[in-house]
Amino acid sequence: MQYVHPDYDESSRLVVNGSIRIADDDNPVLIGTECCECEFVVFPSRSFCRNCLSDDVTDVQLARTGRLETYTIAHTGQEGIEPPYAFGFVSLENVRLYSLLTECEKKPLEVGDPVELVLERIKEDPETGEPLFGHMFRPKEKER
Amino acid sequence: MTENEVAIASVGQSDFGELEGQRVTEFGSRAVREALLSSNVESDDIDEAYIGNVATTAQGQTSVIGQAILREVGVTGIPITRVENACASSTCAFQEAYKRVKSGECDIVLAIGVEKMTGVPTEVALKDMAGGTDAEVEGSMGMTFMGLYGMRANAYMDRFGDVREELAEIAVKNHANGLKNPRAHLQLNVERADILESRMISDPIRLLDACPMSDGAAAAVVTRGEIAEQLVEKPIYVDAAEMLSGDYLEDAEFWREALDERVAQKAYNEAGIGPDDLDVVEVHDAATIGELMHYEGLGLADQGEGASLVRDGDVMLDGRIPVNPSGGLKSRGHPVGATGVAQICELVWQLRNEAGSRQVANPSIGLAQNSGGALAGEGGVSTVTILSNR
Repeated sequence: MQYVHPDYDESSRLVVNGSIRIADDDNPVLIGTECCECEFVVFPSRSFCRNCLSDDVTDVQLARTGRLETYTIAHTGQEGIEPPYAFGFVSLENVRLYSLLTECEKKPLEVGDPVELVLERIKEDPETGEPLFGHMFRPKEKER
Repeated sequence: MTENEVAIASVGQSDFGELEGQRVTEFGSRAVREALLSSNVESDDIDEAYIGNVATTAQGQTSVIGQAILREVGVTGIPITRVENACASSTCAFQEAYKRVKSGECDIVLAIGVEKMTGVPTEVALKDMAGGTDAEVEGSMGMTFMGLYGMRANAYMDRFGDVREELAEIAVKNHANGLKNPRAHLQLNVERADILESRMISDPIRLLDACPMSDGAAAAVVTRGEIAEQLVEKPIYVDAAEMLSGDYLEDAEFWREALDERVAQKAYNEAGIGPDDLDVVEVHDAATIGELMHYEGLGLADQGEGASLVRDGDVMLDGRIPVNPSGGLKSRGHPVGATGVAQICELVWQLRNEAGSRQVANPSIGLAQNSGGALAGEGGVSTVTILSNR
């Protein structure tokens, strides 16, 4: 079962609007856009295709697991996110995206690690203090 | 339209550092004044001006910065345009000046770079810098520029093995060079152990692997070759000025400076030379891994072999191909909008044998590489400028 932060519900605000939701199987899933003309997939979602400019596009659920392409652990970071925190680039089936990384304490991160999506609390709105949610990836445990 | 030979009549640079109490117009105009006086041109002779500037929070004067600075040196009533391309802003301003002269539209054009970054809390400055990444997903979710260098470094070391000691040696070299540059920001006498024991910023990038945030300005008078020859004794010729942006596709390899490779090839073709012909090089060492990867992107070393240039001493001031004799961003400092033209200043001084105790032995061809911003982990822009003294 993939992790969803206990404070998250459908009314919660996201850092990137429309980027992630709970799917019918109760697991989180990232939402991208697939072009109906040329099948180009992009994250986050767009109203027309970046590759062929067609506006015949549809929401698509992205793969929940992927490969860690590279990573770092920031000891000095942006205001609002408590350091140290890890981030990297993750390759899914059709898409590569930037993501914060979580649950990285068990073993050192390595390029090529399998990772899986979780829905986490990212930070607070600096003006209202309201929590903002979004995607993170964590090392994927081996299947038993 | 006839194509003209383009030259730099002269250059000017302010001190780089925390210029506390100085307005951006003050140190900005000081750099332009030096460039005008050393070029023997009058304020009325300038046809146009392009100014590289990112306009971060600390600056105050966030618009019409070119006009505000040039008013101070009596350059008014002409087209003045700000150019923004993150940390490569002023190289891109220089390229606009180059193109205006090359096309025959203008005789004398000013290229300026300026930035005021200090005097605000670090978090504010870091947020400004994060605006040079993708603001929708990356900057909004914690990415930092040193984090980007950390990610590039980890991808590089995963492929080619540990280079942390060589990265530390790059920092030691650039600080040693900077100690010989009176206009450099960080005047630090450091050894390898100091670098390797400094505070971790974004693994594996440590505090002393990273450049500082600085205030500063630089300026160049760009003109037709024949005019430069009348104005000054030693004009420096512009043999190539190229820039490209990234592709931002899914297959970019983080261990490789593919963007550098593409822009360098264009520049080498334009100048009719190759990397073996270079005598002095300035590269964008915002972090030490940047310098190492630029060695490979520019073809100074094969892929995965950049560290050997450090181990063999090739990139030292007295080496086969000295890199960052100015001290680089690492020591000279990195006022983002000013760095590109500051690299050009250093090449001009080196090619004129005016670089004092950091002078490289009799160089005739120099190259400057300047990077700006990033999207999807790939460079926003990379520029390569090739200068020579003929």
